Amino acid sequence: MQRQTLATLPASGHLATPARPRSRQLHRWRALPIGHVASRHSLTFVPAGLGCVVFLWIYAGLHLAHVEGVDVSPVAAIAPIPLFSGFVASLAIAAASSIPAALVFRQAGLRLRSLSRVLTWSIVTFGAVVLLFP
Amino acid sequence: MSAALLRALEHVHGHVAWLSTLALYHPAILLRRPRRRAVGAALSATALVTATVTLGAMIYAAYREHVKPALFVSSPLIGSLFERKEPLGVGAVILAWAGLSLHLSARNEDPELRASRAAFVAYAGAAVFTTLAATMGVIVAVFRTF
Repeated sequence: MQRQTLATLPASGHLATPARPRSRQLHRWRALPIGHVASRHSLTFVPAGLGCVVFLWIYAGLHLAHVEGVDVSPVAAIAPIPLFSGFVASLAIAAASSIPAALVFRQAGLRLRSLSRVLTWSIVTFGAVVLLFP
Repeated sequence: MSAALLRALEHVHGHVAWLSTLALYHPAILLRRPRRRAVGAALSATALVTATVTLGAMIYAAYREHVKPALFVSSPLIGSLFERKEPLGVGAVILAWAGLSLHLSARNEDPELRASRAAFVAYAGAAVFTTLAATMGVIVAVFRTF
């Protein structure tokens, strides 16, 4: 009963909302059965998305630093080959930063609204850095 | 590792690279529709690109020692292509794994299908990166090999 009451509430949480077409209402009924409360399953994508974005930016930064002749000493100490050390360091930083961020997102019930856009820009930036500064 | 084995691994690496390039376009195309499930295509493409990068990493140290210096001496332009190819491969494998995780975590209860859209972006980016890397790899391999 409680679940059904929540389901009838609009996603915004306000009762006075503009009327939507019936097809859209049905679509929202199927797609969002428990209102706007972030569920466990829908938030599992946050670490993957955030981790990928962080990896791309960190790796691009380390790549630029290497091209400029500035090798970060803790990173260079990981492996003698810069490609491998940069990969391991970026992966470690991405994992270390994405999991706490995902926990914060989950606790606050937030969703990453513009993940696709951020990921697109990260991919474009990474590609540009790699292609323009070999 | 003997020179014959390195040459064989290099050839396998090149062929698997083109296979994974084609395979990565499959989930990228299927996931244009956010509600579409493509677990098999996503899994196989991710496995292929991971195998490609693993093979590349296995021969990289020997390549760096024996082939890369001669490559840069004879043609700096081709050498710079090789330098561009490596990070693109790294980016592709990370994007493929992120795309797989995003696709597996996508649920219909997500009202705006953000995970599905992000999975599509990740696979599309991985497909573009592998296309560039595989093309550069062919150019480099035609010029000089083990």
